Amino acid sequence: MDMLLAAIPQILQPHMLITIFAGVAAGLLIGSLPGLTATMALAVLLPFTFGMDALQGLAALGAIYMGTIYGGAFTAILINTPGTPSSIATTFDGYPMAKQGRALEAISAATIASVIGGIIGVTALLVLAPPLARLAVAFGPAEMFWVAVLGLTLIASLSSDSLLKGALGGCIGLILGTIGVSPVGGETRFTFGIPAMQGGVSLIVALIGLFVIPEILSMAARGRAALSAPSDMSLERFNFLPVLRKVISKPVNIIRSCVIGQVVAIIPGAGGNITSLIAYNESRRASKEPESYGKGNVDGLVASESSNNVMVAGSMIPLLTLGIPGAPPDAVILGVLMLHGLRPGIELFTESGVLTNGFILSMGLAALMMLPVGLLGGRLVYRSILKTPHYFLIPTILIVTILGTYALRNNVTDVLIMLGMGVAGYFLRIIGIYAAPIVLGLILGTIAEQGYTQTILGGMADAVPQLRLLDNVLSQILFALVLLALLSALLPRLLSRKQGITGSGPTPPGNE
Amino acid sequence: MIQRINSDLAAGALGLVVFAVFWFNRGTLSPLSGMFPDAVLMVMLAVSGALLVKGVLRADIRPAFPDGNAGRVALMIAGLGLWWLGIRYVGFLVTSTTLFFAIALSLSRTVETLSTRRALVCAAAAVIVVGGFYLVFTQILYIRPFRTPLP
Amino acid sequence: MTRSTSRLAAAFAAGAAATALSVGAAAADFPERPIDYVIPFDPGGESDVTARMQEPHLEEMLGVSVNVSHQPGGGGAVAWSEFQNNAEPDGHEIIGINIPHIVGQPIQRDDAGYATDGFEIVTWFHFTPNTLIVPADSPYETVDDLVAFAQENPQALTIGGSGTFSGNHLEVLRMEEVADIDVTYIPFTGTGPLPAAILGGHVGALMTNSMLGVQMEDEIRTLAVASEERVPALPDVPTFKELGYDIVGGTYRGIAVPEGTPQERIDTLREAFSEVNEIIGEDQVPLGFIMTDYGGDEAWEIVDQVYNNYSAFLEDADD
Repeated sequence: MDMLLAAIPQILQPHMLITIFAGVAAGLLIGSLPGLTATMALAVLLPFTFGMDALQGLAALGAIYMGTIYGGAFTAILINTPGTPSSIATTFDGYPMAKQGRALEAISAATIASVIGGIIGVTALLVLAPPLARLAVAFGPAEMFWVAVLGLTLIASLSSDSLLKGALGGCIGLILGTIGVSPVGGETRFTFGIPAMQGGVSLIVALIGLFVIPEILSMAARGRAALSAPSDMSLERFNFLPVLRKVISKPVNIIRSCVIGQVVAIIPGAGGNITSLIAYNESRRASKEPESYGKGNVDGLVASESSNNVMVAGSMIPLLTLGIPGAPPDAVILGVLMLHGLRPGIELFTESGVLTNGFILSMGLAALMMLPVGLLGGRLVYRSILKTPHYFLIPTILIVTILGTYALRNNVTDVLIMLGMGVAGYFLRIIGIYAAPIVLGLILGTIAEQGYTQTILGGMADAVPQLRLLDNVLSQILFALVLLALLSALLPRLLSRKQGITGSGPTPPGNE
Repeated sequence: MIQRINSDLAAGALGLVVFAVFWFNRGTLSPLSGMFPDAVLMVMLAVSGALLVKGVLRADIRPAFPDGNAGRVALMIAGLGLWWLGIRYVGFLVTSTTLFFAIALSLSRTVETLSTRRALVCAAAAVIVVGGFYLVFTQILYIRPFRTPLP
Repeated sequence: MTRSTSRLAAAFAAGAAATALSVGAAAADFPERPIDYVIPFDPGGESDVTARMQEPHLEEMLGVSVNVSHQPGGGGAVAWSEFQNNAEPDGHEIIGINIPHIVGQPIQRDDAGYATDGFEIVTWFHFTPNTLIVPADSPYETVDDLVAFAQENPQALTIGGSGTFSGNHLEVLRMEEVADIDVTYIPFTGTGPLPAAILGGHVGALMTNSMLGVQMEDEIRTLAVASEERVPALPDVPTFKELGYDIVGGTYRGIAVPEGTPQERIDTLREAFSEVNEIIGEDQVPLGFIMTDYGGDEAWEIVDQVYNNYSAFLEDADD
């Protein structure tokens, strides 16, 4: 507590405030460019922190991290492109809202949700770090396998259009995920003899391809931009307060999403990529009007954005206490700790407690700064997208996308994969196979495979190694959750079929 | 031109194609590396089969081009293909600027008639946007430029 | 700025003294533009952290900026194959290389896309020996305890490490051979998940690099380290050799340039890196690194040594 108090004046100094502000702004800018992820933002901006002392450097990086994750929401809302994987679910309702002329409302709601999520995450990090860290190490290979399977059951609820097509999309994602070096066994698979394919299909590459390219192709086909100016509400008269009231009038939704975000964030390896999808799905399941999700329901947007911003501070828990990066960007932060000669562990909270608390508090400050930066920046981005004629917007998005994809791993083959998947994705969308299940398969395939094979390996000396999958209480609980999730996704479908209802069913999220 | 499409048959057929591409390029893999892809491929085969059956029994027929002008989509895709070939021979900057210019000019025809002035505006935008982002990426973000013969 | 110029002058002077003729002239026009330093792994790993430590000092010594970029994929193979095919041999493009990766991958894969001897090695700048780690509450107090258990219970002992046919894995294979035991090696993706694996009790032991032993000192016990001499940061941990097991190995990290790069430029680079080593060693040695400076023929001797020790395992894997 003393250290917490000692840290406060340190981070309130003017140069710290400016650093954090600049970090949030820079992160926001980078996060809103498709292809530039939080990991990349941290890596490219890292050299700028070399001249700073440890606290200022860490604060800058924490702010960049926060800003990037939040910046991903902008493109998700305005051009249906998750700037970072953690904002996939933001597109489901954000983009329909924008198309209805409610872009500013969506941006404001996303901002509020992000700020709340960020602050809740920082609070959890301050208060609950040691006990939650213990939970993090409880997830071994078997548990990770079930977490991945649990995530895959989301396909069932994300594809209410046609379960079979959703399953096919999931399989395509899973098989694309096996390209490259196998996680256990170390062999190269499905490289088709091309050395560059050893790197596999990167999630971000697929994400950009499957979301951006179909969108610009269909914009080109329609011959106009997807967004039109709001008819009932002019830009100048847009009012922030009603949105705020709307968002905080559903506290349960926010709290549920934040708890989900926190729990998923500390499971090492699952990362923030699926938090928003899970939170979105739970929000829809709990809602009284699930059919409005995917058509511009602000609650879905809030669920997604609050959960993924909890993740930023949330994933620092295993990182700071145990040195386990919960999400890929955390690996960079771990590197920075090492650069400054800091060892993750309890000492970080005792001996260098002032520094650590200062770092955590600075993330809270960064979360607060997202409010002004985001609201102003959001308006600016929105206006420029609205004012740019579609025939300039389309090629601009294309060029940024190509550069972003390339920048990801400095790999030209990635650009080809991105464009190829994008064109394929356009036609897949026409026949009812959407991007979300494919991406989900790609995210979770490796985790599932690794968890399964590692578990089997661990049981090599047993008669039946597969029994290790249900060896302990945590994996049994997760298995039960998998069954529950499957039942709750499939039962309504079967029931409605029995009753002979042949309606088209709820619109799947993320579709046109 | 095809107006409507049996989306179940199309999805099933696509599933079979993907299955075949991966199945016949599997090569030799040890059990540890092969187990998972094999399982996925089998599920994929089953799902594709089920989709084909459904396509025959209770097909889901949809419009083949819900978005409007299919010709413009074909042009865009052709443009991307040419871009990919082009960066090898004349480099990223030239190819991308040309692609930007071509897309902008051809799409602007939906709202305005072609004119020299229009072409000049498109060319200027192409140079500014491509050049601008290229500079931001290489100079500020320190991304190494494309490794092609020319920048 | 004055400090950096004097450093620069010092570097040139040292370079000239060390490599005799014409170096002065060559050094004067090299480097003439920023150096591209490619890391073939994700940001945040040991290679990245080291490159970040080197970056500012290299810039001072070489007088140009040094741009670190990442090209991860395929355990480094994507970057290495791209580098061998496309990089300009003028000394301005340098890439991080690792042993045993660059030895193992071309043997084990048909499509690695590069050859071990397709590089010019500038220097191996540091070494992290493999260490055998068990949880602090583990029943194994010594390597002998662990070997005794493994001998009685084939395959029952699980040892985690980073990657398949990586340095960690090869060391476990070597240990199985030397101690005549049969254990189960469980690969993880990188070093990141290993602390959770050992603390959560998901594996019985870890074969990992020496840094983890230092980083997790309080929660784990390091049974032995696979270096010729004890690691400065772990003075109480015996080497395998002291305990009677002929196991020496780990990860060397270094720098390579494309084949055909002029020798004097390689020398300039090596000079810079060995000076940088002096400076960053102060930070790296306490973390568990062993600083090295093996260039030229010495560098290839290390490659050959690794090849001789492990190629049998790797060729088995290729079948």
